[in-house]
Amino acid sequence: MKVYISATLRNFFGRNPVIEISENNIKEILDKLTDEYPEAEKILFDEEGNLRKFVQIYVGDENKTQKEFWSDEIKDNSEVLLLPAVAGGAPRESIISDDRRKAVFFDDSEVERFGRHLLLKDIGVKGQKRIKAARVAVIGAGALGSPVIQYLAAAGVGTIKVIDFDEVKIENLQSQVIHTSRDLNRPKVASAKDKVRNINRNIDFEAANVKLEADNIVSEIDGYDLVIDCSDNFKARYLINDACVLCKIPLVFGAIYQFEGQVGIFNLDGGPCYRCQFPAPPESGLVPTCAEGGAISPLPGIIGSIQANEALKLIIGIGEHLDGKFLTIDSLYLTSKILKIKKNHSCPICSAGAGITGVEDFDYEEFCGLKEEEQEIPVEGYTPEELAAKIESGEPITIVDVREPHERAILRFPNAIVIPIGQLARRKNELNPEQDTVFICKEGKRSILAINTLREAGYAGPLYNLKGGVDAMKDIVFSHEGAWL
Amino acid sequence: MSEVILSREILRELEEIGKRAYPDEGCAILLGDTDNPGIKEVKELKNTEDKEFSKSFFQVNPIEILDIEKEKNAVITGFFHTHPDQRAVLSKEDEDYMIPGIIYVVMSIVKGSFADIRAYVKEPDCGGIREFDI
Repeated sequence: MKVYISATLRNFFGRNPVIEISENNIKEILDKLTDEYPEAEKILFDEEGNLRKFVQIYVGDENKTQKEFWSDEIKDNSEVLLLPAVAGGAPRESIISDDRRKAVFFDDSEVERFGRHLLLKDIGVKGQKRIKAARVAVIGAGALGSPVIQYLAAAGVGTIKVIDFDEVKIENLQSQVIHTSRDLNRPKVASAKDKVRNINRNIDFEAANVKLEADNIVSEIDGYDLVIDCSDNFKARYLINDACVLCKIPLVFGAIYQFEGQVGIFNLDGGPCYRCQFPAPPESGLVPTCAEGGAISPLPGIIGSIQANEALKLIIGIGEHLDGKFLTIDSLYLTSKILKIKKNHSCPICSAGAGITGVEDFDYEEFCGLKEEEQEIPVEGYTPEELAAKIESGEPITIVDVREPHERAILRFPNAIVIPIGQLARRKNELNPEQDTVFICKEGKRSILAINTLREAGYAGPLYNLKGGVDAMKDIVFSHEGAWL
Repeated sequence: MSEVILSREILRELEEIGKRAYPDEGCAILLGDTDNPGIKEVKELKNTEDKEFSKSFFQVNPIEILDIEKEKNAVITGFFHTHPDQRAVLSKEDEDYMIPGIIYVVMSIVKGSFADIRAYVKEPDCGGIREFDI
């Protein structure tokens, strides 16, 4: 049988226009062709073994490209044709439709206010109308949310919804520049609302003082053009990502830790999602949260500003953006790189055969290792009061501090030995199995990981966790030294 | 090679195809000859996409390409299509349909007039996509 190779594909088949093959169905013909011309295999098939979109298979004048025809017997006198699929589409210019843009009008004060945008060729009246028509949900009014909310408001985004359940605390003021000393103990969304009103009273600000969970996230974000993730924990990130995929809303992701930050755009027009790149979070306790690890003050300003810039580019429909890419920035050494993210065709949330079809059915607590009662081996622990009583009584105990050096520098735990989690198995002989060993960290989570690590390494002595960590110990007053901090 | 040379005449022909098709997407095949693989001839192709979608999408009957191949016995250098009122950048759809080593020329037609033209080639291993100078 004759297989005709289109001139467009011939380079991968030794430039042969016609190849004689004895096989009599498409599956066997393709196998034979790729056996004879191995370089053609990568051209014809993608990483998952699917025929690439630019190839079409005809038998005579009938299109047999679909796999369901590949086992059909082909008559000897038929001609099989390997032809190009020539097709394409225009890029979606903006996430805001032309109809919505055209429904927007400016008054004189708006023309004056946004003059610097209107002057830009790439924004102009058309772009500014899109900004005004946009409805953006910002999740988190903390460090990243501070620049994001204020820049979106300053740029003139018509509707900004801010979702945060927390109140302003003194330690927030180091990096959460949307809040001030006057906002202490107020809901963050109330504080953010005041700042946005001070920037532009015409913005429709929606405050949601709620904690996002699987049973409320869809109703909170549905109907918005864009979600900006300014959260600070893995559970929220997966929840936000999954809800955005299910609601078909693009997501601008941001994260910070110490001196490093990350920005990416997920779920834009069916592009890769957060789970495509990070199928599962790191083991609970292994990576300190931002609250535990800290972050230099201007870092969320840098990362949040990039998030706001990416959001505006998506709204206006200009420039290159981070769709399918992941930007990492090291503010300490001023280096940055952009990683490409591929769509994972077996992603449990965004692939064709996705297993997760609703966020309510997925256990985010378990997935992120937050269910302490479901630890394989239950970990016994002391309350701060119990540990304090043991220390006061002079009972022989070993206290092991697994915190990072910068955490110990803030608050030293007296008479504790320091062993990083990574060295525990190797240094287990430094512990006395005849006496109680108590593990401490900032919040009492990494210390559980330490105990499990040591047990897996075969250590048989009694191990205890300080419940609530050093944070919970702050209010304990020892008789000989007064308050701790 | 990292550039595509288009004569004024070829450029004019492409512009005419784009303007004629506006506000739909126009498309064409770019042909060379065996001695010189540059773009010597343009042949307009029929956009068979449904009218409902043809402002933003195009597709071509592969049998039409086959007929041109057999009739002209020419070297197929590339394909051309327009983006009406959109930038001359590749969409995800465009990238998926690109054959490695073939030149894809994209023209932006804004309000019925030429706005921009760009050329792209997919790497031979189906890896990245490079933009060529025109």
